[in-house]
Amino acid sequence: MTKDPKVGIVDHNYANIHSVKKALDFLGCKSLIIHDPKELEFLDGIVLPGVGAFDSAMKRLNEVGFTEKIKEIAKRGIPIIGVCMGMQLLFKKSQEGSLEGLGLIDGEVTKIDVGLEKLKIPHIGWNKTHKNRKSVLMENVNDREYFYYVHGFKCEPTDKSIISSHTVYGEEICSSIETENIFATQFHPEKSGIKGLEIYKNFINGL
Amino acid sequence: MLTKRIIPCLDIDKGRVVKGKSFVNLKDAGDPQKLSQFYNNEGADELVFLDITASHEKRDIIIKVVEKVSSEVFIPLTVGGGIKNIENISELLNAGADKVSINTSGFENPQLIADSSKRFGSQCIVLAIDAKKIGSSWNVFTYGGREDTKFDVIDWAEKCVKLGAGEILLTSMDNDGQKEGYDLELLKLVSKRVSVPVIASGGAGTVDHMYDAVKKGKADAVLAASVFHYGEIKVRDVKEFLKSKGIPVRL
Repeated sequence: MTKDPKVGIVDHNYANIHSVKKALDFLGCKSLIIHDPKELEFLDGIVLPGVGAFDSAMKRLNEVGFTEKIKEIAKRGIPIIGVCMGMQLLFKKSQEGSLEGLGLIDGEVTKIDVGLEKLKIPHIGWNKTHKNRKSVLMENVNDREYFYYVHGFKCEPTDKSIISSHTVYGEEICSSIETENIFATQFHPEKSGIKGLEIYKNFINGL
Repeated sequence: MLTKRIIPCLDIDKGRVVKGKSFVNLKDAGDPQKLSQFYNNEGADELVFLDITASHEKRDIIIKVVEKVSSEVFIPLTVGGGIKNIENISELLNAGADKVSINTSGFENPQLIADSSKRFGSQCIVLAIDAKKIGSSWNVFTYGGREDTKFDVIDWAEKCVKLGAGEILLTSMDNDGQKEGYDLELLKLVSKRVSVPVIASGGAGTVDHMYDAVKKGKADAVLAASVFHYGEIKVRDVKEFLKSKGIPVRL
């Protein structure tokens, strides 16, 4: 574990960066809001948040030059956590948009299929989250803990073994991913109370 | 299982919570920070702040409140009242709000709903509707319930969802403050017609009312102000009651 790790929060205009920053501040973690890809150098970890539409966020990441820089840094092994839309941006493509994603995770982002249940879309609220396996992010978090979700699309990684937890909304939905230095949660840890903060704490402790 | 949300609403006037005076366990129940913390500890799923400050310097005051609360309470925070443009929304989100609720300004300028949901995402934009029954249907009222727009509530709700509103906060003006239950008929009508979650508001007096809003009114969340402020009902009691009736809640 790095002493006083420096964490960057990527600001691409389509993210709740301030809520994330407040959560990290509360945990006593030094965090910086990153507007320029150059500032991504010399960080110990990166948070890629996101709300809104896939293409809007990707377009901005491309324009500012974040896309290539994030890919490069990910290759170097710097831990990255994608949150909500930020998780979806880590994938190659999304049914929600036409732009190419970061492609750090193999797989696709697809529309939630509520089937015959006529559930409302987006999936908004606190949902029970089941652990699939031993998890770094979910250490000290109970199985079937509630987290706060807001999304209309879901992540489907090709390699199912990287899914560390899931929830159920009409169908099984991937809640978190952990593979080498890439982490992600579909729910908002910064809006999921004390248990949510544990997720960031675990991410920071792993830096 | 997705849980039904219980949402206390705090009316804020010049940075202070109104109606919160008789709170037993709080030294300063008018302090939004302390009250938010209290509700958070009780298991509130979200908080709604309604800024009712009448003066012009009000934006700064509510922004400071949001900044303070969001630094220590990590559940979704919706702020409404006096939001007129994208800049107002941006300021609130920068201060740590997660959603904003738009009422009168959305009616007068529906483009604001379209623009803001495009800019910040639908999940950010809560459409607040004040509904009053006129004959056999409900009209949308604006300016804090003072002005009848003559526009049908269902039509308005559907239109706004198309424009990009991510949730609907539906207040029955007829039932508000009566403590005789939510307007179940209205709730059910709107909830069936729109694809986004509907938050029931206006009329909560007992835990049974909240159960009915969810079960009969098909609400996705229930909001209440005074019954929580005066300690007549505790958030935890609502949740335990709903759970005993088979409604999924976060406990």
